[in-house]
Amino acid sequence: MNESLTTALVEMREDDVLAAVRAAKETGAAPAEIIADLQAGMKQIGDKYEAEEYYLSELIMSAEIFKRALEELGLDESAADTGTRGTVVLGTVHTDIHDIGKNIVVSVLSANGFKVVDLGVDVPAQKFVEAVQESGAGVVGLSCLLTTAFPAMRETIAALAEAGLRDTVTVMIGGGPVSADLAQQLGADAAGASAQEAVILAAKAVEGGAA
Amino acid sequence: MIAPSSDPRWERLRKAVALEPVDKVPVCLEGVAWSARVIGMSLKEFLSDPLVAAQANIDAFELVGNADCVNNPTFDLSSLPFLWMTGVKRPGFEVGEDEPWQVEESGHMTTDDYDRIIEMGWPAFQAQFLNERIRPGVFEEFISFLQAGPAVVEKVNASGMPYLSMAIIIQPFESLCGGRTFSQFVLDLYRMPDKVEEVMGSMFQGLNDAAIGGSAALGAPGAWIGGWRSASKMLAQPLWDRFVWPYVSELVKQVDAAGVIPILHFDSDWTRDLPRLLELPAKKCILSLDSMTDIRKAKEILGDHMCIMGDVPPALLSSGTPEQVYDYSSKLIADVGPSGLILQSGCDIPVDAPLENVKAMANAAEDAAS
Repeated sequence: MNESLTTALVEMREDDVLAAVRAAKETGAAPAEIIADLQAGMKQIGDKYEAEEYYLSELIMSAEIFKRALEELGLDESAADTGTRGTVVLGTVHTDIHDIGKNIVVSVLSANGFKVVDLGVDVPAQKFVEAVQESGAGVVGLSCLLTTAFPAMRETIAALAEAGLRDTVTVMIGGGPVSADLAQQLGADAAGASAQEAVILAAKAVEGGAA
Repeated sequence: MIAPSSDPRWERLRKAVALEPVDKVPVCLEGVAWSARVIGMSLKEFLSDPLVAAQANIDAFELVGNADCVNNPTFDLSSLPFLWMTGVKRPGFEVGEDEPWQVEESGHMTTDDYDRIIEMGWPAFQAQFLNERIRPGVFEEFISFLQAGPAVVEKVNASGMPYLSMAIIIQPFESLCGGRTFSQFVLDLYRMPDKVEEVMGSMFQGLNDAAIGGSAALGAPGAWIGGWRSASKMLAQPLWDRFVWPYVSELVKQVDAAGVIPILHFDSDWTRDLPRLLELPAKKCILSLDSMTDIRKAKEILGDHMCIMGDVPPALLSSGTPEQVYDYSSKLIADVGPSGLILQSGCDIPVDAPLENVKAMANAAEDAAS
């Protein structure tokens, strides 16, 4: 365990993280060990977010530092997928093109060890179905900013059911106007108010525990 | 400011801001796209002319029947690129003529632009940026919109419909954040904080002189000071303290000094920093919340200091039943009102909200008064 690397990430010291990664690499540390140290930092950052010590800016900055650390190792974000946390299919539903929140969730889920299939924006229901079938994802995340996209969320959940996938996936919804009540109305399993909540919900869905 | 009036609706608004007892909690409609939809007008037509939009707001206000005011009596889509340095997909152009507009936050601004802003000055940079990187002519469209202000006010005053604001005051954070995208701008705040601060300082001088002076000249009661991505939940405390609060608090002082009510249109979650709002002038501001900030906490902290407006959730107005909207509104009045509260949707009434739901909100205020 390289605590100085983990701490540098938790404290958002980007240059120190990259220097520590280079040093670890030079001393022969395996990339998997370095990634584990970084993910330990992401876990602490998530905990601080939950405790309202950290805010969205820290989630974004830490995910960026994490990405750059992987690049330093000659890897991309898929390297963070340790195979233990499962796959999440994520997209902004049909009729809505907003992607800022969705992109933050993608970064934070990736940095926390999930494999993320990002379908982009204005995604038709059938594309979600196909992505789940191809990836074997256990979690589907539906994003929107517009209330007028609620019907598209409902249609996507119905399409998953029609394809016989509804019982195999946990559906979480996210975005400015969503709520737990809405999730119930639309037939989703949960609503997330933040990127960190998405991590917690996804972790519960695939692991049955906390993030 | 709002002068004493024989019109009970204006009086309710004046008293709500002054935290005086009211005979009824005033109800404000922040309709925009909803106003068009509810009277059967396409969004393309609504956006074709500020006077058409104003008439739609007047018609929607009359359709509800027992609201006290609207927030903004008109609207033009060019105001969104002007505020946020982003593109917008427009009804009748990039999307269908009755589909909602959608902001494209795609990062047209680069870090190289920071030096350009300092060299050129914000007004020249903004005009060039909008026309060259967003859409040719969009800057001029916004200027035309501003020029329509006196005619809009004349029309609205002739209708008798009370309204709150004719301007949106810009804080540098929101314009730069929109231009860069939120994620990229956050990285800039960590990686080049001194440069961002220098840009903000260079932008800030005179940034809102026209909007504040224009509001006062039009006789508009208030002006929005918008906070979207600058919310507490979005930013680490040191970033918020350095890049948001100094500018917001100074803008409030400037707007108040012009005799105009600062309407703090704060979307997302500002709960962490509610105590800071005690630094603002007492009984002069309206804090408008969108249902993400804990409005009861706001009442607890600021109830003796400023009027609170909100916060019937957009999702409830869009997909709830009239009974659910009525119950939410009634509880809100009981917990946060009756004095110092303006009942309103959290941010805009969604375009697809049924008329019955909006009426349920207004009826809750009327029933609570009787």
